[in-house]
Amino acid sequence: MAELLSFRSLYASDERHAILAGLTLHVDRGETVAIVGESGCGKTMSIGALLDILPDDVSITAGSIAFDGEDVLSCRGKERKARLYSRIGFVPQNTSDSLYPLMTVSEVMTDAYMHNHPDAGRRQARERAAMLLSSLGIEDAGRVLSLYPFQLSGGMKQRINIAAALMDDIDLLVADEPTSALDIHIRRQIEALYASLSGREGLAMLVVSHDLGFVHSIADRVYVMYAGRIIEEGMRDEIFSDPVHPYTKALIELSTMKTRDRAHDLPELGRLASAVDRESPACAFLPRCCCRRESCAVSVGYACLSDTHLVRCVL
Amino acid sequence: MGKYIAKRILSSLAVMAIVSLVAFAALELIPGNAALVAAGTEGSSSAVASLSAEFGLDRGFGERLLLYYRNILSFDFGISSYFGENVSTLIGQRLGVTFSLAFFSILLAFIFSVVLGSAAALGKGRFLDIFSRTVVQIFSSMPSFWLSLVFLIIFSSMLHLVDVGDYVSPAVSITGYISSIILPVIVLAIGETGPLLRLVRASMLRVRNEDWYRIGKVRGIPRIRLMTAYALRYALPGPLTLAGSELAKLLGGTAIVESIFALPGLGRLFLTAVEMRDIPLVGGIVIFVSFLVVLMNLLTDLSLFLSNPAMRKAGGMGL
Repeated sequence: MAELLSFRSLYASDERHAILAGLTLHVDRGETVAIVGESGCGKTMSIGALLDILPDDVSITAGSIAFDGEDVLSCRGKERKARLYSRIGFVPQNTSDSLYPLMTVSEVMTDAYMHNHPDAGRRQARERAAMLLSSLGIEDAGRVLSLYPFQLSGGMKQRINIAAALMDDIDLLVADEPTSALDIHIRRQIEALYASLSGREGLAMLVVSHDLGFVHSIADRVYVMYAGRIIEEGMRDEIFSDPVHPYTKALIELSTMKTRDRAHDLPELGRLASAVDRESPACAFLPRCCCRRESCAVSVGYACLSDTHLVRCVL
Repeated sequence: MGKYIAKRILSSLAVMAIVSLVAFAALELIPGNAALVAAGTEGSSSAVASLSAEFGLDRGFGERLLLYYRNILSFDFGISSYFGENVSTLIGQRLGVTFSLAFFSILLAFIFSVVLGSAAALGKGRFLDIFSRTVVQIFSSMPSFWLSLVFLIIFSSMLHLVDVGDYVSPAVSITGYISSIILPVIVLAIGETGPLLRLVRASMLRVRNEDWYRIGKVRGIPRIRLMTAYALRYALPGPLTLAGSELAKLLGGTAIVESIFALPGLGRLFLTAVEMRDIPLVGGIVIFVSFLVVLMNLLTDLSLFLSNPAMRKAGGMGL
């Protein structure tokens, strides 16, 4: 498959800390890729770097991001940049606040579309919005289009955000924690929705999540991120059935455990991943690793377990 | 929606009733009355008694209060003891000047604050942001009487750009009108810019961190449209509320500037009324300005309510 998106040794930092420490990953056309990891590991920042929505105090210090062969970070010119971003759809983490509260769903969905397609009229944009809402399982799309965001449920907002992201003919859908803060019923609906989207021809997805159950149900490939870099990557079954890195193992184990057992069995994973020195050549997971060796404090290398399964660990 | 508007209007009417009651009580409590002032120090007791009867001051408290409210409802605040004219007429003659000063100074301050505050928030930490914060500091620390004198010296005495002391009605000459109010408008606007600019900047900084703002950028909404149709619309209710209440405050607070620039406004009329112990005029102005303040606040609230779909649909709950 042809490569659509790639991050190459991307470094980003705020005034005090490194946030991304040599992030390297790629997404091929039509595939669904997930980045998993704890809160604070840099997942959302990697999306921010791609979409140019990093916080004010965070800047990219080295590396590159390429989308369909074009260097995203050095992309100059408003029109060129807008054309590039019109091929990427984004569903944010907090869908409650992501729809502009003073506009109807119709206005929210059609405004950007009409700017990206100057020859499309309001009616055409509205028809496309209604069609997309219907295709995502929303009944009575015409009525929903005339509602304001405060009149919508959490699940409905999720769907509308997805539909808004699909308004343009996009090649890549980026979703940040799509299942966070959803109850189990809506979570299943959204999971099914993403599973159906992952089958759409030509549409690649980059999903950031700490919900491993969700990732397992939709991803083709998985990147495990820790302290601003990828520590293990592989096809979904390689990661879930045959994890190698102690951190990946712990994450998977943690996701399958009942809540009441977690505090006793894996207390070290409760610590923030952001507390480590991300710029050190040593293994960033070293202070929390149950199987550490002396060499891990000096440097750490990659091991190729198959063509697709790589791990940043000497074990 | 109608229920909220009716409720809001009723509460404003109640505030007006209470304010006028307080004004009545205050005028009753101060030593002397309108008849004594009108009769003068040489006035005989029969003249005072006759004037008291004319003004209705010889009646009982309850009757006077009822008469007072009846007069207010018919906009009859009595006859000025100093000018010998109807108080409503005097207020009407001066209102245009004060309203012009208050309205245009708030408009000027609002436009300046929105433009500079938005630009400062967009370029946080850059030149415009530092410049705007400096402007806030400088503007906030300059008293209006001092600034008025400085402006008079520079623009009138030294540069001869404007004539001071001859107020020209807009009906007579637009350029003369502008020339007669431009300096006091700028002085008042400078005083209002500090808090407005600070609030606009803070509101716009908050907006920049809103998810819908960042997503609007990603979805390709042009920056100008994102700033005007989205960000400003979302961020402005706070500054608009402040501007509305400041406008109401200015309607009763331009006395010093009017005096320095010799403008025949309500503020100057009020100073004269106090100086001459013109009780009907003082009472009339106090009540009229209080009503204007309540009215301005009501209009601000209603316009914000009508511009916000969530509030409209919720019928103003939580306001």
